[in-house]
Amino acid sequence: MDSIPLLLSVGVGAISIFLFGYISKKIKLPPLLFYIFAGFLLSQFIDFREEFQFIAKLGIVVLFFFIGLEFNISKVIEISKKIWVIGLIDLMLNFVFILLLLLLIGENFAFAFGISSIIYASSSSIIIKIIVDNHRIANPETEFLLGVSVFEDTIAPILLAFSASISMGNNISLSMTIGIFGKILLVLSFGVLFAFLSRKYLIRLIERYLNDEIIVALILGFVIFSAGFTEYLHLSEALGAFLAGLVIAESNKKFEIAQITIPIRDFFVTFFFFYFGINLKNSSINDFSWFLLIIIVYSILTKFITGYYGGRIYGLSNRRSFVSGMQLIPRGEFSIVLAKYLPTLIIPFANIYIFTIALIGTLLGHFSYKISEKIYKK
Amino acid sequence: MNFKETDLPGIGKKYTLKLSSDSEIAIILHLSGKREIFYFEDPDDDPHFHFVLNEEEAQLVASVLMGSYFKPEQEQQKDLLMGKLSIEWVTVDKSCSLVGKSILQSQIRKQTGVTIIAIIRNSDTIINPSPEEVIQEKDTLVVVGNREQTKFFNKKFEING
Repeated sequence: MDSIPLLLSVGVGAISIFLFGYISKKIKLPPLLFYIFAGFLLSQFIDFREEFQFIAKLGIVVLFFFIGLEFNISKVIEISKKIWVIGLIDLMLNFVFILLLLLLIGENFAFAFGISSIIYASSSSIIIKIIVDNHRIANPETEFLLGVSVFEDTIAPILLAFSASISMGNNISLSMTIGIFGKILLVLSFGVLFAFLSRKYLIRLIERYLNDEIIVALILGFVIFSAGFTEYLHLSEALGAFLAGLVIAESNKKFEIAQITIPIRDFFVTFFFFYFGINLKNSSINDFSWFLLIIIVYSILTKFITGYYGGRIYGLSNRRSFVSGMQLIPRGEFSIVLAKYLPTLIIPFANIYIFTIALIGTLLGHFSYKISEKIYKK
Repeated sequence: MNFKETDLPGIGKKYTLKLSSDSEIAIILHLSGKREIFYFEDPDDDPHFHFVLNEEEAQLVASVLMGSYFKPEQEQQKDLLMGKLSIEWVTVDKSCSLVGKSILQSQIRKQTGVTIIAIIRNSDTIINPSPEEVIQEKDTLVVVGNREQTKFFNKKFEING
Protein backbone atom coordinates (compact mmCIF):
# COMPACT_ATOMS: atom_id res chain seq x y z
CA MET A 1 0.00 0.00 0.00
CA ASP A 2 1.36 3.40 -0.94
CA SER A 3 0.72 6.13 1.53
CA ILE A 4 -1.40 8.94 0.12
CA PRO A 5 -0.45 12.62 0.51
CA LEU A 6 -1.12 14.04 3.95
CA LEU A 7 -3.54 16.74 2.87
CA LEU A 8 -5.62 14.25 0.92
CA SER A 9 -5.73 11.80 3.83
CA VAL A 10 -6.88 14.53 6.24
CA GLY A 11 -9.66 15.42 3.82
CA VAL A 12 -10.72 11.81 3.41
CA GLY A 13 -10.55 11.41 7.19
CA ALA A 14 -12.73 14.43 7.89
CA ILE A 15 -15.33 13.41 5.33
CA SER A 16 -15.51 9.88 6.69
CA ILE A 17 -15.83 11.29 10.22
CA PHE A 18 -18.77 13.31 8.97
CA LEU A 19 -20.38 10.33 7.25
CA PHE A 20 -20.00 8.01 10.23
CA GLY A 21 -21.16 10.75 12.57
CA TYR A 22 -24.18 11.24 10.35
CA ILE A 23 -25.02 7.54 10.53
CA SER A 24 -24.68 7.61 14.33
CA LYS A 25 -27.19 10.47 14.49
CA LYS A 26 -29.63 8.55 12.30
CA ILE A 27 -29.50 5.41 14.40
CA LYS A 28 -29.26 7.46 17.60
CA LEU A 29 -26.09 5.96 19.03
CA PRO A 30 -23.16 7.91 20.53
CA PRO A 31 -20.90 9.15 17.69
CA LEU A 32 -17.49 8.67 19.39
CA LEU A 33 -17.49 4.96 18.65
CA PHE A 34 -18.34 5.68 15.06
CA TYR A 35 -15.32 7.95 14.66
CA ILE A 36 -13.22 5.02 15.87
CA PHE A 37 -14.98 2.70 13.39
CA ALA A 38 -14.32 5.21 10.62
CA GLY A 39 -10.60 5.23 11.41
CA PHE A 40 -10.43 1.46 11.62
CA LEU A 41 -12.33 0.96 8.37
CA LEU A 42 -10.28 3.49 6.42
CA SER A 43 -7.01 2.09 7.72
CA GLN A 44 -7.83 -1.12 5.84
CA PHE A 45 -7.70 0.75 2.52
CA ILE A 46 -5.46 3.72 3.10
CA ASP A 47 -1.99 3.83 4.53
CA PHE A 48 -1.95 6.91 6.72
CA ARG A 49 1.37 8.70 6.99
CA GLU A 50 3.22 9.19 10.22
CA GLU A 51 2.49 12.92 10.09
CA PHE A 52 -1.17 12.16 10.54
CA GLN A 53 -0.39 11.47 14.15
CA PHE A 54 0.25 15.17 14.69
CA ILE A 55 -3.41 16.06 14.17
CA ALA A 56 -4.42 13.44 16.72
CA LYS A 57 -1.86 14.91 19.09
CA LEU A 58 -3.43 18.35 18.73
CA GLY A 59 -6.68 16.56 19.57
CA ILE A 60 -5.16 15.36 22.85
CA VAL A 61 -3.92 18.86 23.62
CA VAL A 62 -7.28 20.54 22.97
CA LEU A 63 -9.16 17.80 24.82
CA PHE A 64 -7.07 18.17 27.96
CA PHE A 65 -7.24 21.92 27.72
CA PHE A 66 -11.03 21.62 27.96
CA ILE A 67 -10.75 19.27 30.92
CA GLY A 68 -8.54 21.84 32.65
CA LEU A 69 -10.97 24.59 31.71
CA GLU A 70 -13.53 22.96 34.00
CA PHE A 71 -11.13 23.27 36.90
CA ASN A 72 -11.88 26.45 38.69
CA ILE A 73 -9.85 25.61 41.79
CA SER A 74 -12.39 26.84 44.33
CA LYS A 75 -15.11 25.02 42.42
CA VAL A 76 -13.16 21.78 42.44
CA ILE A 77 -12.74 22.04 46.21
CA GLU A 78 -16.49 22.60 46.49
CA ILE A 79 -17.26 19.51 44.41
CA SER A 80 -14.59 17.43 46.14
CA LYS A 81 -16.21 17.99 49.52
CA LYS A 82 -19.25 16.05 48.34
CA ILE A 83 -17.46 13.43 46.31
CA TRP A 84 -14.06 12.61 47.82
CA VAL A 85 -15.11 9.47 49.66
CA ILE A 86 -16.62 8.08 46.49
CA GLY A 87 -13.58 9.24 44.53
CA LEU A 88 -11.30 7.31 46.86
CA ILE A 89 -13.43 4.16 46.60
CA ASP A 90 -13.20 4.57 42.83
CA LEU A 91 -9.41 4.93 42.98
CA MET A 92 -9.06 1.93 45.29
CA LEU A 93 -11.29 -0.43 43.31
CA ASN A 94 -10.25 0.60 39.82
CA PHE A 95 -6.58 1.34 40.28
CA VAL A 96 -4.82 0.48 43.54
CA PHE A 97 -6.43 -2.92 43.96
CA ILE A 98 -5.63 -4.15 40.47
CA LEU A 99 -2.10 -2.71 40.69
CA LEU A 100 -1.40 -4.68 43.87
CA LEU A 101 -3.00 -7.79 42.40
CA LEU A 102 -0.80 -7.68 39.29
CA LEU A 103 2.33 -7.07 41.36
CA LEU A 104 1.35 -9.95 43.62
CA ILE A 105 1.17 -12.44 40.74
CA GLY A 106 4.67 -11.35 39.79
CA GLU A 107 4.16 -8.94 36.89
CA ASN A 108 6.78 -6.21 36.57
CA PHE A 109 6.00 -2.69 37.77
CA ALA A 110 5.81 -0.96 34.35
CA PHE A 111 3.29 -3.53 33.13
CA ALA A 112 1.20 -3.52 36.28
CA PHE A 113 1.17 0.26 36.53
CA GLY A 114 0.29 0.64 32.84
CA ILE A 115 -2.59 -1.83 32.91
CA SER A 116 -4.12 -0.47 36.12
CA SER A 117 -3.83 3.10 34.78
CA ILE A 118 -5.77 2.36 31.60
CA ILE A 119 -8.43 0.65 33.71
CA TYR A 120 -8.81 3.59 36.09
CA ALA A 121 -10.55 6.59 34.52
CA SER A 122 -14.02 6.53 33.00
CA SER A 123 -14.42 8.49 29.79
CA SER A 124 -16.04 11.81 30.58
CA SER A 125 -16.41 12.47 26.83
CA ILE A 126 -18.53 9.36 26.39
CA ILE A 127 -20.47 9.93 29.63
CA ILE A 128 -21.32 13.53 28.74
CA LYS A 129 -22.28 12.55 25.20
CA ILE A 130 -24.68 9.88 26.48
CA ILE A 131 -26.24 12.25 29.01
CA VAL A 132 -26.71 15.05 26.47
CA ASP A 133 -28.05 12.80 23.71
CA ASN A 134 -30.55 11.18 26.05
CA HIS A 135 -31.71 14.58 27.35
CA ARG A 136 -30.85 13.70 30.93
CA ILE A 137 -28.66 16.72 31.70
CA ALA A 138 -31.01 18.07 34.33
CA ASN A 139 -31.31 14.76 36.23
CA PRO A 140 -29.72 14.55 39.70
CA GLU A 141 -27.46 11.62 38.75
CA THR A 142 -25.78 13.86 36.17
CA GLU A 143 -24.31 16.02 38.96
CA PHE A 144 -23.01 12.89 40.65
CA LEU A 145 -21.46 11.46 37.47
CA LEU A 146 -19.77 14.74 36.58
CA GLY A 147 -18.48 15.02 40.16
CA VAL A 148 -16.83 11.61 39.88
CA SER A 149 -15.38 12.65 36.50
CA VAL A 150 -13.89 15.77 38.06
CA PHE A 151 -12.25 13.68 40.76
CA GLU A 152 -10.82 11.28 38.20
CA ASP A 153 -9.67 14.19 36.05
CA THR A 154 -7.52 15.40 38.95
CA ILE A 155 -5.86 12.02 39.41
CA ALA A 156 -5.51 11.00 35.78
CA PRO A 157 -3.14 13.74 34.51
CA ILE A 158 -0.80 12.75 37.34
CA LEU A 159 -0.99 9.08 36.34
CA LEU A 160 -0.40 10.16 32.77
CA ALA A 161 2.64 12.25 33.60
CA PHE A 162 4.00 9.40 35.70
CA SER A 163 3.48 6.85 32.93
CA ALA A 164 5.15 9.15 30.40
CA SER A 165 8.14 9.47 32.71
CA ILE A 166 8.61 5.80 33.45
CA SER A 167 8.27 4.91 29.76
CA MET A 168 11.65 6.64 29.35
CA GLY A 169 13.67 4.42 31.64
CA ASN A 170 13.72 0.69 32.21
CA ASN A 171 14.34 0.20 35.88
CA ILE A 172 12.09 1.91 38.31
CA SER A 173 13.69 2.62 41.62
CA LEU A 174 12.22 4.34 44.63
CA SER A 175 14.40 7.41 44.23
CA MET A 176 13.33 7.72 40.60
CA THR A 177 9.67 7.48 41.59
CA ILE A 178 10.12 10.23 44.15
CA GLY A 179 11.99 12.29 41.56
CA ILE A 180 9.16 12.00 39.05
CA PHE A 181 6.53 12.90 41.61
CA GLY A 182 8.64 15.86 42.68
CA LYS A 183 8.81 17.04 39.08
CA ILE A 184 5.06 16.66 38.61
CA LEU A 185 4.37 18.50 41.84
CA LEU A 186 6.72 21.31 40.83
CA VAL A 187 5.04 21.75 37.43
CA LEU A 188 1.58 21.62 39.02
CA SER A 189 2.38 24.22 41.66
CA PHE A 190 4.03 26.41 39.05
CA GLY A 191 0.80 26.19 37.01
CA VAL A 192 -1.38 27.09 39.97
CA LEU A 193 0.91 29.94 41.01
CA PHE A 194 0.97 31.28 37.47
CA ALA A 195 -2.84 31.08 37.39
CA PHE A 196 -3.14 33.32 40.44
CA LEU A 197 -0.46 35.80 39.37
CA SER A 198 -1.60 36.19 35.78
CA ARG A 199 -5.29 36.31 36.59
CA LYS A 200 -5.69 40.10 36.53
CA TYR A 201 -3.75 40.62 33.30
CA LEU A 202 -5.39 37.70 31.61
CA ILE A 203 -8.88 39.01 32.35
CA ARG A 204 -7.93 42.42 30.94
CA LEU A 205 -6.40 40.94 27.79
CA ILE A 206 -9.34 38.64 27.15
CA GLU A 207 -11.88 41.38 27.74
CA ARG A 208 -10.20 43.81 25.40
CA TYR A 209 -9.55 41.46 22.49
CA LEU A 210 -12.45 39.04 22.89
CA ASN A 211 -13.80 39.57 19.39
CA ASP A 212 -10.44 39.85 17.74
CA GLU A 213 -8.58 37.19 15.78
CA ILE A 214 -5.47 37.56 17.93
CA ILE A 215 -7.30 36.09 20.93
CA VAL A 216 -7.36 32.69 19.19
CA ALA A 217 -3.60 32.87 18.71
CA LEU A 218 -3.14 33.88 22.34
CA ILE A 219 -5.22 31.02 23.72
CA LEU A 220 -3.98 28.30 21.36
CA GLY A 221 -0.41 29.53 21.60
CA PHE A 222 -0.52 29.39 25.35
CA VAL A 223 -2.11 25.94 25.39
CA ILE A 224 0.17 24.37 22.78
CA PHE A 225 3.25 25.97 24.32
CA SER A 226 2.58 24.57 27.79
CA ALA A 227 1.72 21.17 26.26
CA GLY A 228 4.98 21.22 24.38
CA PHE A 229 6.84 22.23 27.50
CA THR A 230 5.58 19.34 29.65
CA GLU A 231 6.18 16.96 26.75
CA TYR A 232 9.74 18.20 26.65
CA LEU A 233 10.01 17.40 30.38
CA HIS A 234 8.72 13.87 29.60
CA LEU A 235 5.55 14.55 31.59
CA SER A 236 3.19 14.10 28.61
CA GLU A 237 1.66 16.90 26.55
CA ALA A 238 -1.67 16.29 28.27
CA LEU A 239 -0.44 17.64 31.61
CA GLY A 240 0.63 20.99 30.13
CA ALA A 241 -2.61 21.38 28.18
CA PHE A 242 -4.55 20.56 31.34
CA LEU A 243 -2.61 23.19 33.30
CA ALA A 244 -3.19 25.80 30.58
CA GLY A 245 -6.92 25.12 30.87
CA LEU A 246 -6.65 25.51 34.63
CA VAL A 247 -4.99 28.92 34.26
CA ILE A 248 -7.65 30.18 31.83
CA ALA A 249 -10.41 28.83 34.07
CA GLU A 250 -9.13 31.03 36.91
CA SER A 251 -9.77 34.11 34.75
CA ASN A 252 -13.52 33.48 34.99
CA LYS A 253 -13.77 34.00 31.24
CA LYS A 254 -14.45 30.31 30.71
CA PHE A 255 -17.69 30.78 28.79
CA GLU A 256 -16.19 33.32 26.39
CA ILE A 257 -13.07 31.26 25.74
CA ALA A 258 -15.06 28.05 25.37
CA GLN A 259 -17.24 29.64 22.71
CA ILE A 260 -14.20 30.65 20.68
CA THR A 261 -12.46 27.29 20.99
CA ILE A 262 -15.33 24.78 20.77
CA PRO A 263 -15.15 24.47 16.94
CA ILE A 264 -11.40 23.86 17.20
CA ARG A 265 -11.98 21.20 19.83
CA ASP A 266 -14.71 19.47 17.83
CA PHE A 267 -12.44 19.17 14.80
CA PHE A 268 -9.29 17.90 16.47
CA VAL A 269 -10.89 15.70 19.11
CA THR A 270 -12.88 13.74 16.52
CA PHE A 271 -9.55 13.16 14.75
CA PHE A 272 -8.09 11.91 18.00
CA PHE A 273 -10.70 9.16 18.19
CA PHE A 274 -10.38 8.53 14.46
CA TYR A 275 -6.65 8.05 14.85
CA PHE A 276 -7.23 5.56 17.65
CA GLY A 277 -9.30 3.59 15.12
CA ILE A 278 -6.39 3.64 12.67
CA ASN A 279 -4.08 2.27 15.36
CA LEU A 280 -6.41 -0.63 16.00
CA LYS A 281 -5.21 -2.26 12.80
CA ASN A 282 -2.02 -3.19 14.65
CA SER A 283 -4.04 -5.29 17.03
CA SER A 284 -5.17 -8.70 15.95
CA ILE A 285 -7.59 -11.30 17.14
CA ASN A 286 -4.59 -13.09 18.69
CA ASP A 287 -4.48 -10.37 21.29
CA PHE A 288 -7.69 -11.78 22.74
CA SER A 289 -6.94 -13.88 25.73
CA TRP A 290 -8.27 -15.06 29.03
CA PHE A 291 -6.40 -12.23 30.65
CA LEU A 292 -8.19 -9.69 28.48
CA LEU A 293 -11.56 -11.24 29.27
CA ILE A 294 -10.83 -11.20 32.99
CA ILE A 295 -9.82 -7.55 33.11
CA ILE A 296 -12.83 -6.55 30.99
CA VAL A 297 -15.23 -8.30 33.34
CA TYR A 298 -13.34 -6.93 36.33
CA SER A 299 -13.42 -3.36 35.07
CA ILE A 300 -17.13 -3.55 34.26
CA LEU A 301 -17.97 -4.88 37.72
CA THR A 302 -15.82 -2.50 39.76
CA LYS A 303 -17.05 0.59 37.94
CA PHE A 304 -20.64 -0.53 38.32
CA ILE A 305 -20.09 -1.07 42.03
CA THR A 306 -18.42 2.35 42.32
CA GLY A 307 -21.30 4.04 40.52
CA TYR A 308 -24.07 2.16 42.28
CA TYR A 309 -22.83 2.40 45.86
CA GLY A 310 -21.35 5.82 45.23
CA GLY A 311 -24.75 6.96 44.02
CA ARG A 312 -26.39 5.57 47.16
CA ILE A 313 -23.85 7.36 49.37
CA TYR A 314 -24.44 10.55 47.37
CA GLY A 315 -28.16 10.23 48.16
CA LEU A 316 -29.55 9.08 44.83
CA SER A 317 -32.49 6.70 44.52
CA ASN A 318 -31.95 3.03 43.66
CA ARG A 319 -32.87 3.54 40.04
CA ARG A 320 -30.60 6.58 39.60
CA SER A 321 -27.72 4.77 41.32
CA PHE A 322 -28.17 1.87 38.93
CA VAL A 323 -28.01 4.25 35.96
CA SER A 324 -24.86 5.86 37.42
CA GLY A 325 -23.20 2.47 37.78
CA MET A 326 -23.85 1.64 34.14
CA GLN A 327 -22.71 5.02 32.88
CA LEU A 328 -19.32 4.99 34.58
CA ILE A 329 -18.26 1.83 32.71
CA PRO A 330 -16.86 3.24 29.43
CA ARG A 331 -13.15 4.14 29.39
CA GLY A 332 -11.86 6.35 26.64
CA GLU A 333 -9.60 9.34 26.10
CA PHE A 334 -7.43 8.91 29.20
CA SER A 335 -6.78 5.26 28.51
CA ILE A 336 -6.05 5.97 24.84
CA VAL A 337 -3.48 8.64 25.68
CA LEU A 338 -1.97 6.44 28.39
CA ALA A 339 -1.69 3.43 26.11
CA LYS A 340 1.04 5.01 24.04
CA TYR A 341 3.35 5.10 27.08
CA LEU A 342 2.94 1.39 27.74
CA PRO A 343 5.70 -1.09 26.95
CA THR A 344 5.55 -1.47 23.13
CA LEU A 345 4.61 -5.13 23.22
CA ILE A 346 1.38 -4.67 25.11
CA ILE A 347 0.08 -1.64 23.19
CA PRO A 348 -2.00 -3.69 20.70
CA PHE A 349 -3.47 -5.60 23.61
CA ALA A 350 -4.24 -2.37 25.49
CA ASN A 351 -5.92 -0.90 22.41
CA ILE A 352 -8.17 -3.93 22.06
CA TYR A 353 -9.07 -3.64 25.73
CA ILE A 354 -9.89 0.08 25.45
CA PHE A 355 -11.96 -0.39 22.33
CA THR A 356 -13.93 -3.27 23.84
CA ILE A 357 -14.64 -1.51 27.12
CA ALA A 358 -15.55 1.71 25.30
CA LEU A 359 -17.97 -0.21 23.09
CA ILE A 360 -19.58 -2.23 25.89
CA GLY A 361 -19.62 0.78 28.19
CA THR A 362 -21.21 3.05 25.61
CA LEU A 363 -23.95 0.55 24.90
CA LEU A 364 -24.61 -0.16 28.59
CA GLY A 365 -24.62 3.55 29.36
CA HIS A 366 -26.86 4.37 26.45
CA PHE A 367 -29.46 1.77 27.34
CA SER A 368 -29.12 2.20 31.11
CA TYR A 369 -32.19 4.45 31.28
CA LYS A 370 -34.40 1.92 29.53
CA ILE A 371 -33.01 -1.02 31.48
CA SER A 372 -33.47 0.82 34.77
CA GLU A 373 -37.12 1.48 33.93
CA LYS A 374 -37.64 -2.25 33.43
CA ILE A 375 -35.95 -3.20 36.68
CA TYR A 376 -37.36 -0.48 38.91
CA LYS A 377 -40.97 -0.49 37.72
CA LYS A 378 -43.34 1.71 39.62
CA MET B 1 -39.45 29.54 46.42
CA ASN B 2 -36.79 26.88 45.99
CA PHE B 3 -34.11 27.97 43.51
CA LYS B 4 -30.72 26.35 43.09
CA GLU B 5 -27.67 26.91 40.93
CA THR B 6 -25.33 24.02 40.18
CA ASP B 7 -22.20 23.69 38.08
CA LEU B 8 -22.11 20.91 35.54
CA PRO B 9 -18.43 20.54 34.58
CA GLY B 10 -18.08 20.01 30.84
CA ILE B 11 -21.65 21.05 30.12
CA GLY B 12 -22.40 24.42 31.72
CA LYS B 13 -24.63 25.63 34.51
CA LYS B 14 -27.90 24.28 35.83
CA TYR B 15 -30.64 26.32 37.49
CA THR B 16 -33.40 24.39 39.19
CA LEU B 17 -36.67 25.88 40.31
CA LYS B 18 -39.24 23.99 42.34
CA LEU B 19 -42.68 25.23 41.34
CA SER B 20 -45.60 25.70 43.68
CA SER B 21 -47.31 22.78 41.93
CA ASP B 22 -44.51 20.45 43.19
CA SER B 23 -43.20 20.02 39.69
CA GLU B 24 -39.77 21.28 38.78
CA ILE B 25 -38.12 23.11 35.93
CA ALA B 26 -34.42 23.06 35.20
CA ILE B 27 -32.66 25.48 32.88
CA ILE B 28 -29.29 24.47 31.47
CA LEU B 29 -26.92 27.14 30.22
CA HIS B 30 -24.65 25.27 27.83
CA LEU B 31 -21.05 26.34 27.35
CA SER B 32 -21.94 26.82 23.69
CA GLY B 33 -24.46 29.49 24.68
CA LYS B 34 -27.65 27.57 23.94
CA ARG B 35 -30.26 27.18 26.64
CA GLU B 36 -32.12 23.97 27.33
CA ILE B 37 -35.22 23.84 29.49
CA PHE B 38 -36.44 20.66 31.16
CA TYR B 39 -39.78 20.12 32.82
CA PHE B 40 -40.11 17.48 35.56
CA GLU B 41 -43.69 16.70 36.44
CA ASP B 42 -42.32 14.46 39.17
CA PRO B 43 -38.77 15.44 40.23
CA ASP B 44 -37.97 11.79 40.98
CA ASP B 45 -38.74 10.81 37.42
CA ASP B 46 -37.10 11.54 34.09
CA PRO B 47 -38.02 14.87 32.48
CA HIS B 48 -41.47 15.14 30.92
CA PHE B 49 -40.30 17.29 28.02
CA HIS B 50 -37.47 19.60 27.10
CA PHE B 51 -36.68 22.19 24.48
CA VAL B 52 -33.73 24.22 23.26
CA LEU B 53 -33.48 27.99 22.76
CA ASN B 54 -30.68 29.91 21.13
CA GLU B 55 -29.36 33.03 22.82
CA GLU B 56 -31.59 35.44 20.95
CA GLU B 57 -34.75 33.42 21.51
CA ALA B 58 -33.89 33.00 25.17
CA GLN B 59 -33.51 36.74 25.64
CA LEU B 60 -36.84 37.43 23.97
CA VAL B 61 -38.62 34.83 26.08
CA ALA B 62 -36.94 36.20 29.19
CA SER B 63 -38.10 39.73 28.58
CA VAL B 64 -41.66 38.56 27.87
CA LEU B 65 -41.64 36.61 31.14
CA MET B 66 -40.32 39.64 32.99
CA GLY B 67 -43.26 41.63 31.67
CA SER B 68 -40.93 44.18 30.16
CA TYR B 69 -41.67 43.66 26.50
CA PHE B 70 -43.09 47.01 25.51
CA LYS B 71 -42.69 49.44 22.71
CA PRO B 72 -43.11 53.23 22.79
CA GLU B 73 -46.69 53.98 21.80
CA GLN B 74 -46.85 57.75 21.61
CA GLU B 75 -44.43 60.59 21.85
CA GLN B 76 -46.24 62.09 24.84
CA GLN B 77 -45.72 58.94 26.86
CA LYS B 78 -42.01 59.27 26.41
CA ASP B 79 -41.33 59.55 30.10
CA LEU B 80 -42.75 56.96 32.42
CA LEU B 81 -42.39 57.90 35.99
CA MET B 82 -43.25 55.30 38.55
CA GLY B 83 -42.19 56.46 41.95
CA LYS B 84 -38.47 56.91 41.72
CA LEU B 85 -38.07 54.70 38.68
CA SER B 86 -37.75 56.43 35.38
CA ILE B 87 -37.84 54.88 31.93
CA GLU B 88 -36.85 57.14 29.07
CA TRP B 89 -36.65 56.86 25.34
CA VAL B 90 -33.81 59.00 24.08
CA THR B 91 -32.61 59.42 20.52
CA VAL B 92 -28.89 59.91 20.03
CA ASP B 93 -27.66 62.30 17.36
CA LYS B 94 -24.27 62.93 15.82
CA SER B 95 -23.00 65.14 18.61
CA CYS B 96 -23.59 62.51 21.26
CA SER B 97 -20.39 60.94 22.56
CA LEU B 98 -21.95 57.49 22.73
CA VAL B 99 -22.09 57.10 18.95
CA GLY B 100 -19.67 54.60 17.50
CA LYS B 101 -18.83 53.01 20.83
CA SER B 102 -20.11 49.88 22.49
CA ILE B 103 -22.11 50.06 25.70
CA LEU B 104 -19.15 48.49 27.49
CA GLN B 105 -16.65 51.00 26.12
CA SER B 106 -18.74 53.95 27.24
CA GLN B 107 -19.07 52.34 30.70
CA ILE B 108 -22.62 53.61 30.83
CA ARG B 109 -23.74 51.75 33.93
CA LYS B 110 -20.53 52.31 35.82
CA GLN B 111 -20.50 56.03 35.15
CA THR B 112 -24.16 56.96 35.41
CA GLY B 113 -25.97 54.06 37.06
CA VAL B 114 -28.54 53.69 34.29
CA THR B 115 -29.12 50.53 32.29
CA ILE B 116 -29.98 50.35 28.62
CA ILE B 117 -32.71 47.75 28.33
CA ALA B 118 -33.36 48.10 24.61
CA ILE B 119 -32.16 49.83 21.47
CA ILE B 120 -34.62 50.77 18.73
CA ARG B 121 -32.79 50.97 15.42
CA ASN B 122 -34.86 51.77 12.33
CA SER B 123 -37.71 49.28 12.73
CA ASP B 124 -35.73 46.74 14.79
CA THR B 125 -35.86 46.48 18.53
CA ILE B 126 -32.81 45.00 20.23
CA ILE B 127 -34.07 43.80 23.57
CA ASN B 128 -31.50 43.54 26.35
CA PRO B 129 -28.56 44.51 24.12
CA SER B 130 -25.22 42.87 24.85
CA PRO B 131 -22.42 45.03 26.29
CA GLU B 132 -20.62 44.75 22.96
CA GLU B 133 -23.49 46.37 21.05
CA VAL B 134 -22.22 49.50 19.30
CA ILE B 135 -24.52 52.49 19.51
CA GLN B 136 -25.21 54.18 16.21
CA GLU B 137 -26.47 57.56 15.14
CA LYS B 138 -30.29 57.92 15.28
CA ASP B 139 -30.66 54.96 17.64
CA THR B 140 -33.38 55.28 20.24
CA LEU B 141 -32.18 53.99 23.60
CA VAL B 142 -34.59 52.76 26.25
CA VAL B 143 -32.92 53.79 29.48
CA VAL B 144 -33.84 52.74 33.02
CA GLY B 145 -32.64 54.31 36.23
CA ASN B 146 -33.85 56.66 38.93
CA ARG B 147 -34.70 60.25 38.05
CA GLU B 148 -31.29 61.67 39.00
CA GLN B 149 -29.45 58.95 37.14
CA THR B 150 -31.28 59.42 33.85
CA LYS B 151 -30.87 63.18 34.15
CA PHE B 152 -27.13 62.76 34.74
CA PHE B 153 -26.98 60.33 31.84
CA ASN B 154 -28.54 62.89 29.49
CA LYS B 155 -26.17 65.58 30.65
CA LYS B 156 -23.03 63.47 30.63
CA PHE B 157 -23.46 62.14 27.11
CA GLU B 158 -24.91 65.37 25.66
CA ILE B 159 -28.27 64.00 24.71
CA ASN B 160 -30.69 66.66 23.52
CA GLY B 161 -33.66 64.53 22.48
